[in-house]
Amino acid sequence: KPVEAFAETVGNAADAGTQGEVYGHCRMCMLCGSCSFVATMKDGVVVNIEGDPDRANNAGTLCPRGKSAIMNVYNPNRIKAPMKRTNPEKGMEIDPGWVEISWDEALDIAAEKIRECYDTDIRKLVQMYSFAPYESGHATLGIGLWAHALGTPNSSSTKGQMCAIHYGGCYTLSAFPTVNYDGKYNDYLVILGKSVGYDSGLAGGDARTFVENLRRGAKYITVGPRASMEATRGEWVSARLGSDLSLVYAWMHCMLYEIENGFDELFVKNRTNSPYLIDANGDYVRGEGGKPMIWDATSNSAKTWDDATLGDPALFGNYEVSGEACQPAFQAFKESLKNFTPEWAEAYSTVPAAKIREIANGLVEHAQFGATVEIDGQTLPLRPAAVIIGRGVTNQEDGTLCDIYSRVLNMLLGNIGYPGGIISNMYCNYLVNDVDGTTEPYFEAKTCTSFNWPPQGLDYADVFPHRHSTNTLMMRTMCDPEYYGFDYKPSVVVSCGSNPITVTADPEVAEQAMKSVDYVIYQGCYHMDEMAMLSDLLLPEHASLETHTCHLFPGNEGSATNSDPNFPASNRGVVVRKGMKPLYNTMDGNDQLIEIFDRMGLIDLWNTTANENGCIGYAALTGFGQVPPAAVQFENPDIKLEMGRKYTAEEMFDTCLKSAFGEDKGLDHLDEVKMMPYHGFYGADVYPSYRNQDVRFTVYLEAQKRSGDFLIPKMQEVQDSGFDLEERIKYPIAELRRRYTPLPYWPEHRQIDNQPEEFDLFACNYRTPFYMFRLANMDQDPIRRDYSERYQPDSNAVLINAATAAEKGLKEGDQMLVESPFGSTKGKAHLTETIRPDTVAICGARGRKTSWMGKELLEDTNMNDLMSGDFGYIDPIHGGVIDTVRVKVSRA
Amino acid sequence: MTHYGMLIDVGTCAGCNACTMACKYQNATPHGTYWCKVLSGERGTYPNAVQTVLPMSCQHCSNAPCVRVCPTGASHYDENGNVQVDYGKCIGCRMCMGACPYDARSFNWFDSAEHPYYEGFEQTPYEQMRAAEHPVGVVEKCVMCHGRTEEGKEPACVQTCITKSRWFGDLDDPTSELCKKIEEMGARPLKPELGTKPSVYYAGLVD
Amino acid sequence: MKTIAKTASGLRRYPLWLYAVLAVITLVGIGAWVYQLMNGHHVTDMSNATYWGINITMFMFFVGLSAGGLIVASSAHVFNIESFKKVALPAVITSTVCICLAAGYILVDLGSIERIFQMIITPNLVSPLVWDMTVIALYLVINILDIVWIVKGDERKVAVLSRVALPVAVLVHSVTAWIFSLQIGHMWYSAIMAPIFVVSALDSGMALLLLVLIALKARGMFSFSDALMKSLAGLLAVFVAIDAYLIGCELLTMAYPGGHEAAAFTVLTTGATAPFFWFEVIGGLAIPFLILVFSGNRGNKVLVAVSSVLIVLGVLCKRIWLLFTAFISPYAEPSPMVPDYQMAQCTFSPTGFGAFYAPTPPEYLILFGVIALGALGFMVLTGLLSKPKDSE
Ligand SMILES: Nc1nc2c(c(=O)[nH]1)N[C@H]1C(S)=C(S)[C@@H](COP(=O)(O)OP(=O)(O)OC[C@H]3O[C@@H](n4cnc5c(=O)[nH]c(N)nc54)[C@H](O)[C@@H]3O)O[C@H]1N2
Ligand SMILES: Nc1nc2c(c(=O)[nH]1)N[C@H]1C(S)=C(S)[C@@H](COP(=O)(O)OP(=O)(O)OC[C@H]3O[C@@H](n4cnc5c(=O)[nH]c(N)nc54)[C@H](O)[C@@H]3O)O[C@H]1N2
Ligand code: SF4
Ligand code: SF4
Ligand code: SF4
Ligand code: SF4
Ligand code: SF4
Ligand SMILES: [Mo]
Repeated sequence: KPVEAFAETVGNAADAGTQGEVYGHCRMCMLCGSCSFVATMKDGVVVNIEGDPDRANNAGTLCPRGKSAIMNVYNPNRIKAPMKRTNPEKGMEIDPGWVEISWDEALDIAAEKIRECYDTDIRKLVQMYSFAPYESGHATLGIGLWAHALGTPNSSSTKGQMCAIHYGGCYTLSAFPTVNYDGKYNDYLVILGKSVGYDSGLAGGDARTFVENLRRGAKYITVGPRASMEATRGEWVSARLGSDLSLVYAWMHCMLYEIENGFDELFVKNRTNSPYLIDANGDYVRGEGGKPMIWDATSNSAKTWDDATLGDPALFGNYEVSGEACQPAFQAFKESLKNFTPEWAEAYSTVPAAKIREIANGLVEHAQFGATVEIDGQTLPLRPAAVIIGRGVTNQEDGTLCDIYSRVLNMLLGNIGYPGGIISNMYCNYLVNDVDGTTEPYFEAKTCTSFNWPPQGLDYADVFPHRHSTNTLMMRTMCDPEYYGFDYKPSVVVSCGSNPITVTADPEVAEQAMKSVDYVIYQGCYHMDEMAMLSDLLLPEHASLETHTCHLFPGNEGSATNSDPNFPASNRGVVVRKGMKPLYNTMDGNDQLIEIFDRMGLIDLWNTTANENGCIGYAALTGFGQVPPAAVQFENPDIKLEMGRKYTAEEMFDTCLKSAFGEDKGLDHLDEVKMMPYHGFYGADVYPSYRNQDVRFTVYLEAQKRSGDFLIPKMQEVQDSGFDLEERIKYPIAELRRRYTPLPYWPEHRQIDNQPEEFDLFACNYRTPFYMFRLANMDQDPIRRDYSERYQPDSNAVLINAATAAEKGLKEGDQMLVESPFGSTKGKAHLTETIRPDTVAICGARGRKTSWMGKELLEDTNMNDLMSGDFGYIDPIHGGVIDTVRVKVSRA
Repeated sequence: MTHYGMLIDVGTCAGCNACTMACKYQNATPHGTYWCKVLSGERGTYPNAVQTVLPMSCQHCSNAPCVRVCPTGASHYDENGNVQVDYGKCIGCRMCMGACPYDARSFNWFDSAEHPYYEGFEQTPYEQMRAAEHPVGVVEKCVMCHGRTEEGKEPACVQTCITKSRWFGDLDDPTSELCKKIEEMGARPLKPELGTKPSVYYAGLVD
Repeated sequence: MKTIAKTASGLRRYPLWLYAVLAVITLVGIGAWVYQLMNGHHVTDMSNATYWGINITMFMFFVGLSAGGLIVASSAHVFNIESFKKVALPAVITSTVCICLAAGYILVDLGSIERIFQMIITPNLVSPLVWDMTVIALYLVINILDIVWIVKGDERKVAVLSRVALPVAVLVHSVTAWIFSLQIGHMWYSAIMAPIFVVSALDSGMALLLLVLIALKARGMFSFSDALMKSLAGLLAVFVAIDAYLIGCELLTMAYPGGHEAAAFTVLTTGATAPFFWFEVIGGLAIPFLILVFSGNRGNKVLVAVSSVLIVLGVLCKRIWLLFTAFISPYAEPSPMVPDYQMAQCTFSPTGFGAFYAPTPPEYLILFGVIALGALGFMVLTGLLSKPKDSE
């Protein structure tokens, strides 16, 4: 019986002795501190949990996930003490023979294993992270940063590959993790493959914004495979899965070719790189100081973009500068869209051409080019129409293109960073390229300038420099590094609360990879999941409700700004969590890492890393060279972590807070006030394009082309040197070259269109308020499971259109088998009219591979079993796994 | 007299079931029992189909069939005009379950102390702490959070509603926000033709 | 000494093993009931969607079965039908045992029987269950007095009592019907329910009485003339016909508008409760009627017995379909709570998915335990009270 193997330590509920209330912020979905809660304690037991009514964000509300914090703390499958394996044989059902050890011993082992890599070849150390450390609060250094500090190139996010939602926002708007719409002013929103917080049941403000907007008459148009709740409240436009790029192109075609005044000409001329002249190669024509040039129609001459005498920038025409033929980028842009007519898009997407035109017109009309709005005495452009996209379209083979061109479409509408449009959701400032006068792509979109061969990172980052994550590729290279050209072999894995087996695709490959290394440490582990079954050492951490930690709440990080006047962006700040006394012999995740660094004799490296990057919030972003205000910094040079001293995590936070807010504003103070504003924005400043009225956005994707220009020849060199790179990456280099395009282009070569005939349907995944991903007990909470079995017909079910079901001889409730070229899953048929006849859909992330957390979990309907994370089945630029697959269905 | 009532806008409800879970934890109802639930359905045919949601709990009828049929007076009206069950009088005959046209009632089929949520494990401390609130063999339902309203708080389902589609207040006070909203939104109770006079009103119902 | 001997000889009219078997079944039933008390009704297959199960089915069934006896016995005195008077005693005994069984099924079904006194301390006078308790208690008292006075041969008292007994018998069945038919939200909500209950009580009760009399006669415990059998069987045929007629009326009203009640009709005729429905219509009404309608057949003991068995089983089936169809298709009216498509597919109800029900072993054990206890009671009463001279 599994429980005995990890329950020798008995819970100390009774003597935990807390009475009254404990409080904190919830991070069970990635709203990162949006929702504050108050939990009621009785004799050391949490008896209820509610939204904190004092916090404007969630205004006393808590979503159904937030409530399950209680069941998560008391999850009997928790790992309750540090343990090491005694049975060397690893497998999903093989008893590891856990023996409980002391923390001292456990941390010593971890330190020794990591130090060994550090002393020999740090590349042998593989670190992986996921959302667990976010939830539990050791986010800042727990996600990649400590590994970066040690110098390994192998730090990989296991979660991120199904979550490739960042590239476009990072490229165009310096926005991470993604882009919001301005809920306060938007009147007309076209949603592609995303939930704007209503369908997914978000307590942090987005759902209320959605409802308030509905009440004031705003229109929401949801394009996609099913009538989601958002589609229900607005309009549903049924489109074939994976066809969104064709629609985005067709809308832009309408705006440029069909609709009079179809785009915001002033914005396009003055706030984008559209007028920049490009040469025959597609490179900017550069003038003095290397600055790109614009054709001034007033003076009929080329001038640098920042020339004070610049009159009317030309968008069209053919010109000659210094004897070289050139044209405004916009001219090329427009031409590239010429053939992408609504009729063409209809053929691919099944959306009637008339509907495509109607939406294009709707966008243009509602954008009200020229309109302004008065905010706190300032006059700002008002562009209340926008297109917003999410996981549903980014995790496609053309996800990068769709992601980025949906942003470009918004540029044509002139809504970027302005009221009613799309805004960067962490309230970051635009990162500016001073030479080009444009935004500079950052984070994963950062222009590629380095390439190594033999490759360095096991995630093949050298070939996929713009990956958000390519963890599934890493799992493959780990199994056979030599085949993939590596000159070293990984030996130690440290998983920081991450589980590569279930989170994406191909569980067997990940299992193999974990078995292929000498030693696996599961740091910040939580329960006997698949990763634990493959680990040698378990370092369990507290449950979220048991931690004392803080986090930089980055402003509303959901989907929208908020129309609630009590919820300004000024709500950006540090939030705290001071939970109950831990039940078991677990240890805070940050403290574990600090101890390990201390035992490795590297505590100064830890302290320096924290001092330089901050330690509250997302300091990991600094690893990419630019610092968005995502982490609280040590601002006072006199208050820093001292060298040679080992701090506890609480002391570290305390010091950082004092350095940033003042000596009397440490953790104790935060415990009292629960939230301290930090560099928030107010009034008109909420709008980044108001804060920065000069920077230009990139309609023409010169940087993306530049990345390709740099990367492709290097790859070709490798190929030519006799190493068959194309075979490894299962992708033609020539096609990859085309993908790094500065201009709209239609990729013909797509997996989804090229599968055997027998796979006659499409399958997709969607989230429900109960089942998002697996964080925080979402798949295990027995209350949620029971309720959904009874009352939610799509729970553990496959949504299928009633007509299709009839064709396949399936009735409501029949057990059905869904097979893709990569795998299969089972679920009960739920017949519905709310889904396309050519599509089946499976909700959430459910299904487990080990029975050690309950046998019933093995039977759950599992979308990820249908997908592949192999080379060739990912977006070739951002690396996202294609989570739309071709399938066939039958009665099980 | 106070007469507590509620208004739910099904035209803006997201069907998220936050209310369901808030009620579940507020009242620590037995495994499998939900005083509040959100019924999901759909309307129309492809591609003109939409989902429907309907949050349901006891409607606190002023002319309550459940009270009428209860042989012992266990089901009764409280001082706030809401319907309550006195467990100390309930004989578990389940007459009221049949009488309720809104399926608002549930029976305690087992002793909560003996049915842990996590199968094959002991009860969690949370369950142990609260199991005694629900004696076996009686019928239960939404209590309009009388414990909370006594403290001046809103019912748990109202407070947690992520779209603020629920309102709570005094139906006997025409100046209350509740009454104004009911008026303004043209809300009506479910199945008014049955004459049960519910205290819960719905806006945005599509017939 | 004499009484003991008399008692012993009375009891010995039935074989000892039968007592033993029934006692064992009873004890097992009591054990199952204790098990249910300890674990809650969770040990049954009832749920919030199907909150009543076979206990309530049996309650309805036995209330009905008890009718025939008392009605025959009372009619004998009210209408002075001499031939009926002969069987008055076994008839009333049957009636008494059945009504006790009915009450027993209610008691084992209660979730908190320890608070049953609340019905007496704080009764809610508008509750049909309180009416039922009252009228059943009254009915039981009448039955017992009837037995006592018949045994004592106090004709005058019996005659007076019988005038009260007849309307009370009708009331018992009506009140039982009202428990269901006053539920406004459900498909039970129907004015014709009470008459249907009364008539089906009459036919099943009469059928049971015939079976009892035939059996007792065969054991030589009571005399029972063929002429009497013929006239009782004739009456039975009339009851069956009226029953069929009323059911027909109800079903037509249900199906005709084609609305939501028609969904229940579909469940009834083609869905999960259809086997019970069709058994009743064909086996419980049509066949027995066709047999009994011919006067020749009414004199044939075997045919009368077969018809009676069919009628009793038919009414049992009717209790089953009547109760459960309403759970499967819960709403009489279009309901915003159950979207149409789910209603039609019967896979979803507000109280959770799919509501159909299959009794568990404990439920069956309790069911048989109660019946065995009743049978024991019947044996004791008939054994003790049957007059040897009748058997000669
Ligand atoms: N089918 C499907 N798959 C998906 C997605 C989907 O929508 N559908 N979404 C994808 C996306 S976008 C993402 S971002 C990823 C997310 O991926 P997830 O797998 O949700 O995230 P993890 O970070 O791996 O965290 C999950 C683990 O953390 C554990 N945990 C819970 N509470 C605590 C705690 O207090 N402390 C610690 N240490 N651990 C805890 C949980 O039990 C769980 O095993 O999933 C991706 N995968
Ligand atoms: N409340 C809440 N908010 C969250 C999160 C959370 O867990 N909870 N998680 C955060 C995280 S980690 C992420 S990654 C984001 C992701 O959030 P979203 O990007 O909103 O992802 P999903 O909710 O999975 O929604 C994807 C939708 O796309 C549809 N879809 C699938 N394939 C296609 C397609 O080919 N075309 C079109 N047009 N539609 C398609 C599906 O039906 C589904 O409704 O949300 C973030 N926000
Ligand atoms: S929306 Fe729900 S899960 Fe997400 S942070 Fe808020 S309460 Fe937690
Ligand atoms: S179950 Fe309880 S509350 Fe319901 S009618 Fe019977 S005694 Fe009254
Ligand atoms: S909804 Fe049902 S339980 Fe509630 S008062 Fe009305 S009849 Fe009674
Ligand atoms: S009022 Fe209270 S008891 Fe009633 S449904 Fe809402 S939360 Fe549950
Ligand atoms: S919490 Fe509000 S929005 Fe969510 S289901 Fe309940 S009523 Fe609807
Ligand atoms: Mo994500």
